[in-house]
Amino acid sequence: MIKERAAKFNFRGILAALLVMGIAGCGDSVRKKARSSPAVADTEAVPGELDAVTTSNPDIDGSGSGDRGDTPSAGDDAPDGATPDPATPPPIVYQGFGDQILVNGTPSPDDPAGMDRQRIKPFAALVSGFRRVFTRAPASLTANASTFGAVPDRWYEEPKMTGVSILTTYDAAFEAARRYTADAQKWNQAPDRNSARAECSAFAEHSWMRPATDEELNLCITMAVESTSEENDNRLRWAHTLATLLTATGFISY
Amino acid sequence: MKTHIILLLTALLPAPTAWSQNTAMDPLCSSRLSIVLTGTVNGRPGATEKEQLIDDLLAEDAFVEHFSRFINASFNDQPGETPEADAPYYLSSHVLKNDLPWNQIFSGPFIVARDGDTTVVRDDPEGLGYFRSPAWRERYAGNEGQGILLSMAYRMLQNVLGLVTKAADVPAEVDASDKGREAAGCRSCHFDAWFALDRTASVLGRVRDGRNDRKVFDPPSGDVQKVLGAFEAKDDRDLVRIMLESEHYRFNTCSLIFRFLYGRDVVGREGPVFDQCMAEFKASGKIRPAIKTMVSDPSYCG
Repeated sequence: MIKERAAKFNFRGILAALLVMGIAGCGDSVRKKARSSPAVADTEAVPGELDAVTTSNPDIDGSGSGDRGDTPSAGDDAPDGATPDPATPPPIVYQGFGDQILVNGTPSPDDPAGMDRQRIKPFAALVSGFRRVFTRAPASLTANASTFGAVPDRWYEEPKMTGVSILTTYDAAFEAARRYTADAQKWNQAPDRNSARAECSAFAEHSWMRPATDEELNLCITMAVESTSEENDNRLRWAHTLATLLTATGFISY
Repeated sequence: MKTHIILLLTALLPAPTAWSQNTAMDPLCSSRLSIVLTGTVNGRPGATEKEQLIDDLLAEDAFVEHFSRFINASFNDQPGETPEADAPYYLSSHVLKNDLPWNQIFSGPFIVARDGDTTVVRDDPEGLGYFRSPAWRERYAGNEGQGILLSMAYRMLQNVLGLVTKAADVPAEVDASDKGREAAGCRSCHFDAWFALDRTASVLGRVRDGRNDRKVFDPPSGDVQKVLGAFEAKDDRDLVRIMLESEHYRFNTCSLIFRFLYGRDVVGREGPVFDQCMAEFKASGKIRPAIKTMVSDPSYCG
């Protein structure tokens, strides 16, 4: 029955596709903005880096530290018209074997610390997140652990979301949200803009551990009031709305 | 309706974010620290003080397991066929559990070996981190025709210094012997570059086939060779010592730590945080203080 209703809305495919696109887009952004492993992994210096620095620090025997002297600063690479932040010191340049210059960080003033750092939660953390929100993890989530990729013994893999695992997450979220909205009378009332605002706000903050932005809130309200309007069962309308919040990156990433 | 859902989900995707600079602990930060250091968020209720939480998480067995898995996956291209072939995993665990300096993973007097049904780290004065462990040596013995340990040389440079380069696939008719590798197109990586693989391998001895499909490793000649540019070494112990005394080694270690914590390399204004790691790692030589200095920074989370 749940699956039939979900199919009626015909949005699980859209959900999966959009989230996958969003996550992939986020990853692309990281890759474009992050330098490939900071020089140490490059067998050839990045053009421009060696030109921009002196190689006056011969300390490769480990007795000293990097050189902050004639090194590229944020200002050196500032785009035309950009004002370098005087509070940000230029990156220290370290010297490797073969007079290789090891530069940490791209000296672009456009890249603030902490950018592009959302990562998909490991499966164990996703289960913990459901437990925190609902006191227990949905059976359909734990039963489909293999969907999220089993990492071999002694090994590590950066967690990824696929279309299948996102659908599994949505199904689990919907299962949990149905149970969550099964009893209280308020969930039997059709959502209106006021009730949707209150519930979206409260549930987003509870599940994401941060308040929703106005934009996020308005779209959650739209989801509750308009996007689910073809559903006659009010409890299911609420369940779909809450499940969507639990399949968003605010919940599945950290 | 579909349009509305599209709009909703698009808005829920994360925007590039510069994290709050305030220092007050918040649950999102607590969760992030727990996941990144231990891989889970179990058992973190009521954490209120960031420094204490970091210390607690770094003291957990789950951190040792999580970081050792990360190191093993960073030091090998795929999981080992046997547990002992994943020697970096076991030695990383040993070093962290015993709060040893990180360089002991590469130079400590240990051997990773099979003992019945389990894999153990044994004290062995002849050990050299995991580099002399039998299963690891077998794994990286390579297939060079004359038994020159090119694969092992590369793996040691990759593990300690972060070198990344690829072996070239050459047609069968191309001379891939040590003489052939002196040809233009090969000699740069094999003889001229700072990491010159043939020169590095020259202090590792050679391998040959023994009985029962076992490999036999012959020691190096004992002659002094030029390695890593202008340094002199006569065996693998010299090679490892030279690498561990370098800034290059510390740089690679902090790069690994950064990747562990952020899932990517350094960008933009994160240079100062990286520099803090370098300073701390140089002072302590240990992984935990180096990690702590990065995640304690307000730019990591508040």
